[in-house]
Amino acid sequence: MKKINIIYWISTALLCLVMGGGGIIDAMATPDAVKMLHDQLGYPIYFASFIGVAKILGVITLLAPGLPKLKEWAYAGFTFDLIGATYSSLAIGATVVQAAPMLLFFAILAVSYIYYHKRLAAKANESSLNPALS
Amino acid sequence: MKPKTIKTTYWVLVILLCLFTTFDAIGGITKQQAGIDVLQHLGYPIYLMPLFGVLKLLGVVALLQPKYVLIKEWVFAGLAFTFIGAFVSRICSHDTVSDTIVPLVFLVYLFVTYWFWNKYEAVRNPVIN
Repeated sequence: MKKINIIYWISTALLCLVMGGGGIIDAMATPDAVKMLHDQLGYPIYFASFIGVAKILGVITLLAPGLPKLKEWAYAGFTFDLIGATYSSLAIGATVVQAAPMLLFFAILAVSYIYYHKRLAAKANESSLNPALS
Repeated sequence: MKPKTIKTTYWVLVILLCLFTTFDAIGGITKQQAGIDVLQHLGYPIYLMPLFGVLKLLGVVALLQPKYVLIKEWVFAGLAFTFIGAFVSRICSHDTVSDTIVPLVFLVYLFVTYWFWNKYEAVRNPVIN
């Protein structure tokens, strides 16, 4: 359980840093965020604030206690966000090598998600072994 | 509600959702002019159409298969995000009230289906729930 907890918290902290940091920059529609989302990828300017707020809500959901259904939605949302970002950069002509760093974000997300479920299963197992803990 | 009522209602709702999503997805993959017009009006890149189309088709497959339950949660999440995104985009584009309300109507339909899906899984597998 200890190992599961450590891997879960490291990967989740990294994920929240990436999504939270990017989310704040997008939500404020900074010149850099607008340049990338609008000028380069061709999204509307208002989309920066929308996706930024969505990412921040996802981070809050992951860090809040409980909320298993909403956490599942947050992981889904982050996955769709990364798929959309990778696909969009390839669509505007980025090479596979240029888009490769996205794999790192997918890896962080996957580890966090897998260990989130391992942790849930371990907790359920513990409480079934010792009903006093539940 | 009787288990049979839950099951029947769930299947009617989800099949209609899948039919609509499939038509929408095929329209996207084949880049129908109506879809291009809406995306251009809202300011999104046209290259998104096939991606959304393929993801929606995968979503339909995930909703209709009986084996994996958690992936359905992701499909409901994905559809909810697109409807919310469409609603916000309509507002930001200062569209008419009727154009703006359409994605909200879909969102309500989706949540009704989602609610029946949760009931349906509880009826189908009483041990887990």
